[in-house]
Amino acid sequence: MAIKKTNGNGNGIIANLLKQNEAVSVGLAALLLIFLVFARPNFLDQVNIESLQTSIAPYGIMAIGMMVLLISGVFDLSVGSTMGLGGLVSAISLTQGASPLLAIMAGILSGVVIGLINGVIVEVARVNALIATIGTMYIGRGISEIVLVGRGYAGYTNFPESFNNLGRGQFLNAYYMFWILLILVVVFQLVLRYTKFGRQLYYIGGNYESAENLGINARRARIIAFILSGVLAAFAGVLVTARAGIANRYTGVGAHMDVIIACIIGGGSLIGGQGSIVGAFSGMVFMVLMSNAFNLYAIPPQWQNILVGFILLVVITVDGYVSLTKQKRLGKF
Amino acid sequence: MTDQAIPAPSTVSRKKKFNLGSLTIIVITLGLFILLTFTSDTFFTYRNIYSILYGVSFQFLAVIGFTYLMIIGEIDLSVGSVYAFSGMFMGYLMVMQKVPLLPAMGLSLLACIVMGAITGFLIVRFKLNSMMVTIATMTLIRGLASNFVKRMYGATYPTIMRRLSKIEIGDVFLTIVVMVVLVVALEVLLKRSSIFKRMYGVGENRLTARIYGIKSDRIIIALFALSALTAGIGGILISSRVSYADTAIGLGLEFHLLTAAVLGGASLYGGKGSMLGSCVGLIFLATILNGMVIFNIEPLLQQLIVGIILIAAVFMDTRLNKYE
Repeated sequence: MAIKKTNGNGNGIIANLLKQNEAVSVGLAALLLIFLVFARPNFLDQVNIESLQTSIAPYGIMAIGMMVLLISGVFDLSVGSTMGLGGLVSAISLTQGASPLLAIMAGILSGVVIGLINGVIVEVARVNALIATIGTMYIGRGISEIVLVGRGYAGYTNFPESFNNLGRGQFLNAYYMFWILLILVVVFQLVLRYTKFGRQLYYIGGNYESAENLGINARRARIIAFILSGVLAAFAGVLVTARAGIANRYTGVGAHMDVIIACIIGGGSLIGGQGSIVGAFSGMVFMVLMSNAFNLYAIPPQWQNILVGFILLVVITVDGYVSLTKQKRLGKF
Repeated sequence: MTDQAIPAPSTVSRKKKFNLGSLTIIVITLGLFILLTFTSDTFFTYRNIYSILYGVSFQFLAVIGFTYLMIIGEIDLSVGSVYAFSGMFMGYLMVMQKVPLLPAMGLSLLACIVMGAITGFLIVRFKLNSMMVTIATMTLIRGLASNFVKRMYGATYPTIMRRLSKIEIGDVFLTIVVMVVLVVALEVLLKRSSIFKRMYGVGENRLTARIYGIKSDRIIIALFALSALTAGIGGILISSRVSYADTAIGLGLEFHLLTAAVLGGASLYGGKGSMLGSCVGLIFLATILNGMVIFNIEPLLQQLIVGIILIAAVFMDTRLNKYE
């Protein structure tokens, strides 16, 4: 199958790079990183670096799943509640006496189930993805709350050391979860770029009907994408639970918005057909670095929303302007 | 000229769908009312029904603009943030800057209208996806609102502002009267007035609407401004009722309104929806919660049930429209 270039008919490597959708977020993240390294000496403190890793990793893992969905033209608002549920399922399995490995598998399995349900509702029952995943978001949260009835703020605690080690252990001075994230980014980037399945997702996101007419099983591909997103969200929940040693009702509340915003800054679009995993990763890195910068400069956190919203607005508008002029040049208007 | 340009056949087919949408939710809500009346002594009392309506009347204001936007095929996820912003901004002006009631209210609503108009302008001018843009404005406006919260240090709003939501006409709270009057007026306008009917045209097919001479861009910008305005009015009133700047105001309201509007027959693809349907949708959601409290069912189950109902309703709708 021919490999479709996401962008670009210009010459020169730099010009081509700038035309990639993820250029903005990579650039923003890199600038912010360089700025923080030089302007704030305490940025490179071990405590800060560690907290950066543990906040980027779970959200970055979720952003990968979200980006896969965005590319295929749908999205998933239930990731936050899936994250909470995944952590809860593994925590409950542990208290029921399951081995850590089994508990992790159980948590991931809950993600498979939710992803499959999402996929079937959207692709078989043909319910709009926004409605379907708001619905499963409510359902997931409802289940979490019911499971946690009678348990206080803390929810489930006291997990075996070997389970907590998943979230707290380090390898070569970086957390396991950060390594996992990096591996997943590379794997998914390659899958999207060079495999048949990955290229099909771009076609489906670009034009669902014509993708089906080309003989692509769009329905199956999107269901798989939903399952991937569910699995990654649930796994992120397991990691957070292992890291904090707590599974409560607050895990992942509002996470869906952060993840979607990171993906849009990273070049994704709710319309589908564009975006990359590197973009999702750099978008998330940018978001986390920015909230870190706010902490380091002791700026009240409410300014962060203003800035994030503003940047998002600029990114969306510029992207719209660019594609509008491109279409005008091609004579579509 | 444009009045005659609306073709008659599309009006007929549209009416059929539209009636079906709002009728379903009315029947379901009536069924729920009857069920609760027969199974509980406390449900069908004046006080209980009154309190349900009072609670809904604030959200209803916000759902007006939201429903119109859904009819023309756009969506405004920033309603919850505007809902929080308007009251907090007004409260901030009154508490910290000592601005009198009416100028503070005027400034706050003006700010809402401007934000809505900017949102609409960006969407129309750059042909942007309204969901993406309003996710951005939602974050931005929420940030502005929480800025005012922090600056007020938990102060209570002045008495004169707190009294707004308690204004009564006869023996009934003004907000309920406004809700009833607006539902009737707007529903009649949507069905009878050619200006309002154009919205369905824009929602069904923007290109056709343009060919028939409907200036859809202007309508869209105006409706985004209206959505921010109605959400702003609702927000000022709810702030007046809550009496201090509570950060939880309006959180998740956009999805609540979306659920209500969709239950009331609106579609994410535009061209469908009604004011009565959205209003009954809100009443339905409030009644479910009310019934759960009466029966001492874990109120947390509400989310679960609302989620299932939402998916089921849209699924039914998709099926029905397919066979039409």
